[in-house]
Amino acid sequence: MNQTWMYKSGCISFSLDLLTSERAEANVRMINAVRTVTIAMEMVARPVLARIGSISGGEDSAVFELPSLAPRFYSNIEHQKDISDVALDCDLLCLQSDGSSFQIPRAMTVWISREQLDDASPSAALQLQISLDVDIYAAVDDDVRDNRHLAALNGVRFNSFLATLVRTLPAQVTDVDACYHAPGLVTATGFALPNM
Amino acid sequence: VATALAGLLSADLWHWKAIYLACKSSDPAQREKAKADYTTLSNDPELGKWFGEVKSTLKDANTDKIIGQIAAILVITVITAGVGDIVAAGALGWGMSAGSTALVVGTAEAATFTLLSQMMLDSNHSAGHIALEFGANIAMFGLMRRFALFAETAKLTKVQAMTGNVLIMAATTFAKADLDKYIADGRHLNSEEVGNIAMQGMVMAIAMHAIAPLTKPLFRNLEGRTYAFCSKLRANNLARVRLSEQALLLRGTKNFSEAQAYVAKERAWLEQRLRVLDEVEAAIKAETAGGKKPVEGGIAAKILLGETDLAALRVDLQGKLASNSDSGLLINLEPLAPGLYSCPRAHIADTARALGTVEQVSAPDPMTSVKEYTIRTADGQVVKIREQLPAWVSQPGGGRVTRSAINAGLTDALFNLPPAEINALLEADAAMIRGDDAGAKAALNKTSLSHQESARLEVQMLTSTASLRPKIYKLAVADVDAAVAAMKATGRLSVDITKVAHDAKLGRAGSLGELEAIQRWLDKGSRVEALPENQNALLPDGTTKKNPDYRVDGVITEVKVREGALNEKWIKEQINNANTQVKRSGHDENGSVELLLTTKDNGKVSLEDVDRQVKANFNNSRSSRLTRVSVFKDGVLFSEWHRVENGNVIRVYPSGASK
Repeated sequence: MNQTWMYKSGCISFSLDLLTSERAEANVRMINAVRTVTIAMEMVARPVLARIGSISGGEDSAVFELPSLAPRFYSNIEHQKDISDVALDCDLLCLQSDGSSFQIPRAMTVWISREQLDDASPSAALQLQISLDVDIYAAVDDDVRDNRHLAALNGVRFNSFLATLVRTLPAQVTDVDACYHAPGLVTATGFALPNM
Repeated sequence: VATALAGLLSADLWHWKAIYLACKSSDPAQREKAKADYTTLSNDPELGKWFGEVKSTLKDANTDKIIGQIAAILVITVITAGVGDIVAAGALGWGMSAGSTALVVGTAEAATFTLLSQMMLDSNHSAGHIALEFGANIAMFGLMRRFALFAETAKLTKVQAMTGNVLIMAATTFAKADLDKYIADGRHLNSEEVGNIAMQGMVMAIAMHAIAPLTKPLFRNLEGRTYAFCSKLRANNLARVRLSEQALLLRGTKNFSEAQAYVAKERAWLEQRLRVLDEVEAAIKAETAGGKKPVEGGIAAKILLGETDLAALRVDLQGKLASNSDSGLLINLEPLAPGLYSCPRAHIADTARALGTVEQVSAPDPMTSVKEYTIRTADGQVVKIREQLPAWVSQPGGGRVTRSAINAGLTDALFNLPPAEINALLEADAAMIRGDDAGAKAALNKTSLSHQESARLEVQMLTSTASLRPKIYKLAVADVDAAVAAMKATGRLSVDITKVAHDAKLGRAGSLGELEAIQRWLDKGSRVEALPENQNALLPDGTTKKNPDYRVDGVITEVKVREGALNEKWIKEQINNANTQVKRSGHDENGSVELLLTTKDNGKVSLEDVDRQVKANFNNSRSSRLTRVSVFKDGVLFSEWHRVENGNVIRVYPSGASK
């Protein structure tokens, strides 16, 4: 049995509400959130593309490759008052059984958006969604695949990332969507770690 | 030309106005004079010359012949209407009945019309031709007598106030419309058009005889005071102004239901006015109770009305209320054919009783529940009134709801429901057709029917919509193998779904949902393709292998399944995910997404909620790579949006603009 994890777009997602009490305008709060997320994901993923949407320009009104265009990306958010959302396409940084690392390209998207995408109010609430296209963190063990080892290696790092976000943004996980997995395998605190 | 024509028409060279006013005079001598003057005028050869001037004015303008003729005929129309008006007014003054007035009006107009058309338009002056024309015109104006029968029926009831002027107004409208039709199409109005025109005339008559515009504000100098009744008084006087405006707007419209609504509102206003009067009188009595002398004379001094005046005011208001009731009664009747009328179900019993003796009530029609009343009027005429079903019954859903109610023994209960509850039943019918049983139940619960009645109606409605209900795609774990075998047997499935089937058998909602979607696509005759399934591993170039993203008839189609209760952002987020996925497909093409709501809590999901979430992220500036978003609830299509050519998004199911 050499099959372990699967690819399925958006197969697992976590939805969070940002709980900030800041009175700053939405774009300022968004830039702070992006910085926090980027730092928190350091051990788990690396953002490679940023897509900015605005109320006036719609989706992808500006697109930046990261990290090369990171300064322009942050500057754009700072100066775009009607920013509606920021999507970060990320490569996942994973460990293999032998201790070596590998990347899964574009396998995670972090989407920070206004609660209502067309709500131009400076005080608009912000939401965050982490959408995974792979289940490498899930301790799946059935008659087709056994992913417990990779889950044990990598799941703890993802859970740590999620916990950091909840604490530092701060945020609250409001929803977990994992309809391709057994109940209890994915929860608001992340992935259930296997008993190896 | 217009100035010259206006001058000719407005100069009143023939003193019609004087004759008309004399007709209306209470002086018998004046009325006799009017009669003589009218006869003289009709025979005056100078009148023909004057018509000639009108004609030559049109000719001098070198107007196109046909337009000139039409214009001339319109002039004649105006003139004949004027003649008719004089005759009718005279008839009233001479004490003729409404029916005979109509007859005289018809004959007089026919004769005048023949004369004028001969003079101005027709080159054939042979006696035979003139007789033929006269016959045609008599027939034309004879149609008015059919309308007069309607008025006669009304006259036989308490509706005395509606005869006379109302008849003239309606008849004039009718005659003009028939002339217009004759001029335009060379034929007279058919029975349906007659009905419409009669209604138009009646609506205008209601507007012309509205009570509110002719009524003064009540106790205006008390409006600013602080008596308990003052707020009602102010509201009533304000309502008078609004009703007057509405009566003005009503003139010239054909909107019968608006006229009915106006009469009802006017009735409510008059009733409120009587109640205010009650309160004012009670307050006056309280001020003077026990021989007290109110400060500065109290209310009585402010309104400058004594006890007798107040009593007279009450009688006046009661009279107006009675007149309003008569109007309400009259407009309930809609002529269908001579001697046959329709009447809204809610008013038919009262209207029938008011018309005369109800001799027979037919058994309800088994399909529509419509009954027909046979009435003998006071003068021995027999008229029939058929129940008029409300407009909503003629809608497909309305028909099903009605039949269901009949089968459930709830006919009367159904037709007594207010409009909002009828809408709820139509909503329930639509929900059943969508397969949205929870939505149907929620809609049924909005009615005031008892629990038992509602349950009986629901059973019948489920039966009546059974053949229209969509197939429900809800796959059980135990059925997965058989379903997959059937899918493969179609030969239109170019994808290995072994892994999806495996996970579906483990009860994974996402995989079950995907199989349900594949079943649905195949049932529609679509061809379903997908990339081979893969787990694990990167390809040699470092990219990931992907599990199936479907192509349905060549279109990238994402399936997203919601296992838990729908929250405020799931749809928004999944549309975003699907759009991103289509972008990443590596092709410069668009795709669609199907969102499957599978939780047991779906009954709480409303179309409004889904509509709002979809539109938030699928519009002319967002999710540009998606051309379709479909939401399925409990295995059937719940709602669907399409991107159209201009980039905008419209909801195509359920049809109708999304809010």
